[in-house]
Amino acid sequence: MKKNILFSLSVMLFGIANAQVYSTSTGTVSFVSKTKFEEFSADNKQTQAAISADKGTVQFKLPINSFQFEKDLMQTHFQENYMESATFPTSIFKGKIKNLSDVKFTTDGTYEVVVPGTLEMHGVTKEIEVKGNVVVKGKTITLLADFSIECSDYGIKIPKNNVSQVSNTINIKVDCALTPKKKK
Amino acid sequence: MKKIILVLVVIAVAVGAIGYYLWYKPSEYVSDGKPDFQITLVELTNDGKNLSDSIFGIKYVGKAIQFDAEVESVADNKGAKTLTLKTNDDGLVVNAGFHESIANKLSKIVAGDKVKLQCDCSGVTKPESEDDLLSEIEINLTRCNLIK
Repeated sequence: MKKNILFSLSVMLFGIANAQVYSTSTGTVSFVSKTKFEEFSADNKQTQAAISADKGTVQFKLPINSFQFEKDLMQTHFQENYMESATFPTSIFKGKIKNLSDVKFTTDGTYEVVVPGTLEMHGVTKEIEVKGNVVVKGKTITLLADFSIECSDYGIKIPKNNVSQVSNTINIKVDCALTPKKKK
Repeated sequence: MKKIILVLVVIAVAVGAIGYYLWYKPSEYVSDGKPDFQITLVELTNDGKNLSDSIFGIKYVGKAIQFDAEVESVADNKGAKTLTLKTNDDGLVVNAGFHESIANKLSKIVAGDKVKLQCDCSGVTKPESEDDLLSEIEINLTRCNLIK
């Protein structure tokens, strides 16, 4: 009888933990462009991210104008000429963890995940697959990923005279620490 | 002839110097100068709720906005600070991001403080459906400056 109660309780607790949505509005997404002649990077520390522990769905929203560059001219070019942020102010990734059963949201550890999904950027939506890590530490879930995209896939045109300075291949790093979302 | 060459050299040096300055000019981490909008937070949040994200973007994105607000919470992300501002709507969040270079200006700011801010607007994000994981309307402000 006791065993049954314990079992039921643990199933309930596991269910509650897994039904939890974790989120943040202050995650970090960085990118690096590297050519033979020029390397530059930018950070976005206002990335919204969320994960549903029971469904394995993940979502990221990036306000494009929140990317901070070191050089003013690059920031202006990025916002106005490349990303056209007044027209396309937000980039969105939506995906679902393929190997959700490998992730134990109630046990501290680092879990490798594969997340197929869609990336919407500059008005173009493409299917991509991202490999990353889910790091569980107490009640904080950190989503980490490192992957590349091609600007040309998203209709982002690099003028011929800037090809030596701006790479078509952009490396993206994701580092978002999520905490349980408060129910309102 | 010598004069012409001298003038051309001076022009070439000046153009080079301006080009160098523009290329290497550091980004502005703080919104300063004359704001494009001096409005209340209620006006901004009403526009965030009622306008489509693209219309809101055309009106506000990249523009400097000055307003008064009450701090709901303070978050730290690797040195950069974000103030979440109090709104009268549970489903609407306003986040004001500060570059790490001016984080010390915020060291005494706590929840409940009344502040005057000037920020650049990054836009509004809205949930696309009821089961959207990111279920709040969120107005993002960046390169914020604490006026008082």
